[in-house]
Order: sequence, then C-alpha cells, then structure tokens
Amino acid sequence: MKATGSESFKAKWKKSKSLVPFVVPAIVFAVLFSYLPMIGLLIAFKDNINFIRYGNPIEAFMHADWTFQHFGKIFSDPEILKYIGNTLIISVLKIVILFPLPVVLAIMITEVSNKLFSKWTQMSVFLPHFLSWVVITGIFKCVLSIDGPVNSFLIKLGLMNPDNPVYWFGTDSIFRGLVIFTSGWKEIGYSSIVYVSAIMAIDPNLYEAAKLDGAGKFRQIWSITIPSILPTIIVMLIIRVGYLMDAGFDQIYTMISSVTRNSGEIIGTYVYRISLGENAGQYGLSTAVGLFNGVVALLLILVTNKIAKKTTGTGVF
Amino acid sequence: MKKLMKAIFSFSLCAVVAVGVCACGGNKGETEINLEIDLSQKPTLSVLMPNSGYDVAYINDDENAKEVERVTGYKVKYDQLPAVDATARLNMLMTNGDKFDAMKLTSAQFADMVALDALLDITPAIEKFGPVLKEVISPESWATVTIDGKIYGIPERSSSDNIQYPIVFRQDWLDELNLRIPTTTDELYTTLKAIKTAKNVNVLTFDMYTPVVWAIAAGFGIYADWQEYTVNGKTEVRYYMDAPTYPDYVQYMAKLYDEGLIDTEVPTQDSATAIQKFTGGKAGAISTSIWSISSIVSGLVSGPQANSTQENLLGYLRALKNQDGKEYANRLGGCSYVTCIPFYMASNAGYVIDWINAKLTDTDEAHNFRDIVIGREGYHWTYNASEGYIPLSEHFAEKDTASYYLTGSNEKVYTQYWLARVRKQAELYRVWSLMMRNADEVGVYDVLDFAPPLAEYARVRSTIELYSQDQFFVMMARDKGTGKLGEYLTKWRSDGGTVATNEINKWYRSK
Repeated sequence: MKATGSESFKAKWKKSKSLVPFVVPAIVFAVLFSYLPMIGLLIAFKDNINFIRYGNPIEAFMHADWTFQHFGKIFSDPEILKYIGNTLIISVLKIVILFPLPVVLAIMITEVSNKLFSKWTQMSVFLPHFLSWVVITGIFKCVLSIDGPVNSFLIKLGLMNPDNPVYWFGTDSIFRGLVIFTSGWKEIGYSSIVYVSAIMAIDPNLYEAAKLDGAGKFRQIWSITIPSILPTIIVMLIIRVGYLMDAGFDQIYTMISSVTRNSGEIIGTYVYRISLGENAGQYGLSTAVGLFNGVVALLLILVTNKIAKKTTGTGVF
Repeated sequence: MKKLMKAIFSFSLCAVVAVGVCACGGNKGETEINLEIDLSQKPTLSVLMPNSGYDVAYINDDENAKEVERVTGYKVKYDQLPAVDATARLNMLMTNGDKFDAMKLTSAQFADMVALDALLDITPAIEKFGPVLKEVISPESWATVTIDGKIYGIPERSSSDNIQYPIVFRQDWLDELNLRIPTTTDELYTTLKAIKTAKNVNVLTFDMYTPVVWAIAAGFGIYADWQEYTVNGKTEVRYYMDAPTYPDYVQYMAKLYDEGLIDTEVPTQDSATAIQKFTGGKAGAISTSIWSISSIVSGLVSGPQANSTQENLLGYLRALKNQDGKEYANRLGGCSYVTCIPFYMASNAGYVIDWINAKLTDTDEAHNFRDIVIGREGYHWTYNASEGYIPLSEHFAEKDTASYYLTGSNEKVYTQYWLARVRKQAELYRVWSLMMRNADEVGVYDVLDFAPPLAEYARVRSTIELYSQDQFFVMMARDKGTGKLGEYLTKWRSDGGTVATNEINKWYRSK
C-alpha cells in the first residue's frame, strides 16, 4: 500500500513538476504575509510590550514579561463577553437575513425579459457597493434624522406619533436592525453578480426541455436554476461563514455612538478602541482577542465545510 | 529543470529570511545630547506638528512658516499628524523610529509618550542653549513637563486662561417672549420650557462629545473634570462622574431630555450639526465654545452686519449659580501643547532648543515672538495705549495660522498680543469680555491643569473618560435617570477610576 502511495506520488510529481514554478510565488507570498506575521501572535502572551522604547521589535519583545492574563480577561470580563455576543448575533442575523437575498435578486434579474431594464436594475443596485461606509452612514443619518424625510413621511401616513418620532440612530433596540438593513442596501446588488453569472452559464436546453414537459416559471427555477447554482451558493456560504467573527468593522465604527454601544459594539471595534484608539496601546489584550477571533473563525470554516460536504457533496477542500 | 527548481527554492528561502531580518533589525539613533555643537552651522530641522486642517505643502509654504525661518535662521521641514487617529499614527511613527528632530504634541499625547519612556531628557540642552526659555516660561508651566527633576519638553501655555463654554441663547427669541438669561437651574428649566411652548422646537442643543455642559453643571457645583470636593468632612480630588452632586446633574439633564427641552439627537451629532440647528432656527440655545461664535454669527447674519456686535441676536449664560447662590465657572489653564524630542534623536537636540529659544525671544532689539504671533506694526497691527494691539483688517488674516507654528510661548507677553486676535471680530470680543468679567474670582481650574504627567493616570485616562462620556448619554437618553449609576460607577472605578483618583490625590497632597 505504502509503496503504491509513494509511487503514485512520484508519478504525479513527474507529470506535473513543470507547474511547480507557478506555485512558488504563491507559496512565498503566503509565507511572507500570512505565516511569518503569525509570529506576532506571541504578543498575546506578553505584558505591557513597549515597541517605542526599544530599537527593534524583538528587543521590545524580550523586555516584556510573559503572561496569561489577557486570556483570563477575555473570558471573565462581562464587557468583552457581551461584545463577542454582539458580534455573533449581528453576524448570524446578517447571514440568515442577507445571504439568501442576492440569490433571489439574481434570479429576478435574469428572469426579466426586457434586457435594458434588467441591465439598468443590476447597475443601480450594485452602485452602493462603491460608496464607503462613512458616506453611507452620513446619508442614512440624514434621511433617518428625527425631522428627516422618513419620519416626516411616516407621520404623514399616520404611522408615527408626531410628538414621539423614532430616533433611529440613537435607540439601542433598533441599532442591530439598522446595521443589517444598511448592510443589505449596500451589498446585495454586488453579491448578486456572481449568481447572475452562474445562472447565465446554465445550459438553455435544460429550460427548453422543461418547457416542453410543461414546467412553469417557478418549476423551472426550483428544479433547474437553483440546483445548477447550488455549488456556487455553497462555496459562497462557506466563505461567508469564515467571516462570521467579522461583523463589519467599517460599518459599525461609523454608525455606533454612546447610546448604542450596548447592543452594537463588536469585537472589531472594541479591539480597535483598546489597541489603536486614543492613548490605548493595549497590544497584548488586543492580540489575544484577535487570536481568539481567528481560532473561532477557523473552527467555523472547518465545521461548515464538513456539513456542506456531507449534505451536498460540495466543499472548498 | 532540477537546477532551476533548486535555484528558485533557495532564492525564495533567502528572500523570506532577508525580509524577516530587515523587518526586525534597524536601530534607532543617538540617545546622548551633544553639547559641543557649532550653532552657526544650522541644520534643517524636521518637525512633526499636530493636524492643521491644511495639506503639508501648505503648512510648509505658509507666510508664518517663512516668518519663523526669517527670525530664527533655521530652515524647517514640517510634517503633521492626521486629523483622525492622530495618537495611533504617532505611536506608529515612534515605533518605526521616524526621524523627527522635534514634535509638537498635545499634553495628553505627551503624557502617553512619557509613560512609554519615549522622550529625551532635554534638561542639559535647556541649561546650555535656552536662556530665554528659562526666563519667559513660568515655573508652574515647567512643572507640567518635569518628572524627578528632568525636563522632557517645552510647554506651550495657552494664550490666556479663558472661561469659554457659555450657553448661547437666541436673544431675539428671549426678547420676544419677555424672558431674561436664566441664572439658576429652576430659571433655566422655565426659560427652556417657555421657548419650547412658543417655538415648538427641541430647545437646547450640543454635541455628542459634551457629557458635561459646564454652564449647567456649575449649578450643581461641578466646575472641572478633576476638582476638590468635601464629602463627609473629607476633602479630596474627584472626577466629575464621581462627584457627590453628579446624580443631581444627570437627573436634571434626563428630565430636560425627556421633556424635549434638550435636542433628541444630541447623543449622535457632531458640533457642526448642532451649530447648523441653532443658526437654522431649530434650537433656541446651544452649549458651545466661544470660538464657534464667529461661525454662528456668519450663519445668522450676512454682509457688513456680520462684523459688528450682536446684542439683539445673541445672549450668553456663563454659568448657573450653585446651590449656595454663588457663580463659579470652568476655566481653562495649563499647557495645551508640549514640544519634545524622541529619545533616539539626541543629535540635533541642541539646535532644536536654540531654534525655540530664538522663537521666544522678545526684546527691544528683536521682537521675534511678536513678529511670529501678530506680525509687523503698521502692516498687521497698530498700537494704542488704551486698547492695546489693534488688528489691521486687510493683512491680519495672514496671521490666522500663526499660533500653529508656536513651539512654546513667551508667557510674559503672549496674552496682550493674543487679544489682538480676539478683536478681529466684534461679537467674539464682546463674548470673550463678558466671559472674562472678574474671571479670577469666578474661574475654577482643573487640578490637573498644572500636574506633571502621571503614569497610572496616563494609562487609564482615555478609558475612564470615554466610559463616563458614554454612560452620561446612556443615562440621559436611555435609562432616563440615575437608576444604574451605582453599577456604572463600580465599573468606572475598576476600569481605572480608583487607580487614577488615588494617584492624583497622592500628587495633589504632596504638591
């Protein structure tokens, strides 16, 4: 058994060794920018590291004491636990609510028979992707201000009490909803592109055949379109789940305020606040939180991949 | 093929190792000050500045930069920190060992750098090259940059110790409703209520970075971030959030907020939005600094009218009277900026001190400092004995950016020059004069204004400041009162409040 294994490896090597030089740059890149920096994770086990005082980072590293207290703090500080909870809740809500929408949108776009209209729709829904979060938050803060157009409209319709208008950006209980809504508004169009192209690649003969068999539009979508793009959906889902611990730093950083921190602060914004914010410099703790974050993300990817492989036979690796 | 493969692999391995070594190597420069330098061989100095709001080319090209070069003989290359996340950027530059001969930092950034042991002890350089510095900077200012007898920076004392956070009212509205500027907490409530009833607006506005409206907090005996309180016969320094009367202040603000007398959007708006609301007639009062008055005036009136006083349009509340019927107000003091040198940039330290020494020189022969701050007589200003320095409008605008280029101030003369700048706009001068009326009796300083950098406090400062700011808005807007204040205070104390309070009291008692 062993012998055949090594033989087949030899055979494989012989067959494809000319391809190896093409992989080398990728390996070098990964080593340089992904694996070497991981040495930095050791900072999570150091107390009060002072990068400024010493001539080089190694010296600074040597001068700091070893400690486990950062991990102790992560699992004992109710504040951090709350922020981990917020991250998971916001992220899961984003996946559950927002992940299916681009698929639906892609199907709708491809089913429109007027090509001009379909192109125009596609264009206009993916434009917001190119705006930065600072701009988008600015727009929404304006539109959703107390005496802004949305509130005025709802008051006109009699859906809102004029003496008690909704304070969209300053209400703790609305904040997560707002995060998910704006995130959807920005990204749905762009995320749908990959599905649109997957649908375009489906063999039209399948639809012809289904029509002859008397299948209606919905039957065609259900039995042809969706199964055909399922592998794409799975891959996108696995990739998306890998980002579960990243609930959208840019977005939340621009939207959050004192009164919404309770339900809106996520690990990303918290780590930023304690490591790089004004007079912070708690590199040890922030690295520890980052490491924890990374471990959870890795586990999530492995688990999703396994489930996907079991249930649909498709996975990333 | 095999050879090629080997070559590629060994090359890439070398590259990886080389990059690793480069990234980790690199020593920072000289740490010993050389006192035997030839001052006639002036090097070009590289100076890191705070954010100016302009681009770097502009600040290097400004008239005032040229003026500094003219009076000191030193060529200077200015660089600046970004407007956002300046401290993060500063940390990065210092970690990389960027070569700045001097850095003009805020006093908070200075304290951070001291805590990281990142600055050069410049005492010997000042002894040798800074005779003017020693003379024109007061001992209390030196105290803010001295630790264990070693001096780590040149303090820049604020232009004058201003009382500068009034509540600005629409005087025309007050007149129309027959109201006067309120002086007590009860009067303020009825005044705001009356304006609300008549105008149907959220009356008082301010921004999300203002957890303490000084003019109102004064009514509850809170005048500064850190001040003395007597609790149960014991006198000690406490933070505002820990003040015995803080719950009353929060309760009062929560009531105003709940009744729509404070702008609902205060917890999420910046100061520009607040000012827009005030000038746009959506608010009848605004808590702001007097330096916003010029933009408020230009938002309300236009044309030549905008350059005169606005008695009929704007009214000012300096501070409410406290429970004993006495008026006290927050007064700014101390040093806003400190110019210092990275510990690894000792080689040019002597030149830097000589440069600053020349900038602060102000004698009958050489009015260097005056030239930098307000410019030349007859061109930028004229002088008369009763009013002091009067700006000449056509050229004085050139000096708008002058204070940016200061690195330390000549405390003996700065206030009289600086008044020329307040006189640039009539209404600004009026409000400044109103605020400064018997300032020495009314003004209360933060006890930390003249403190040296305190290590523990520097470590927790931003955490406890941000937390108390957050919790104020949470209590005002969400909790609708002080129900959870006990819980928040416990958290505040364990996050560093106690450590800071103890350290500050220890220093204060030993003063």
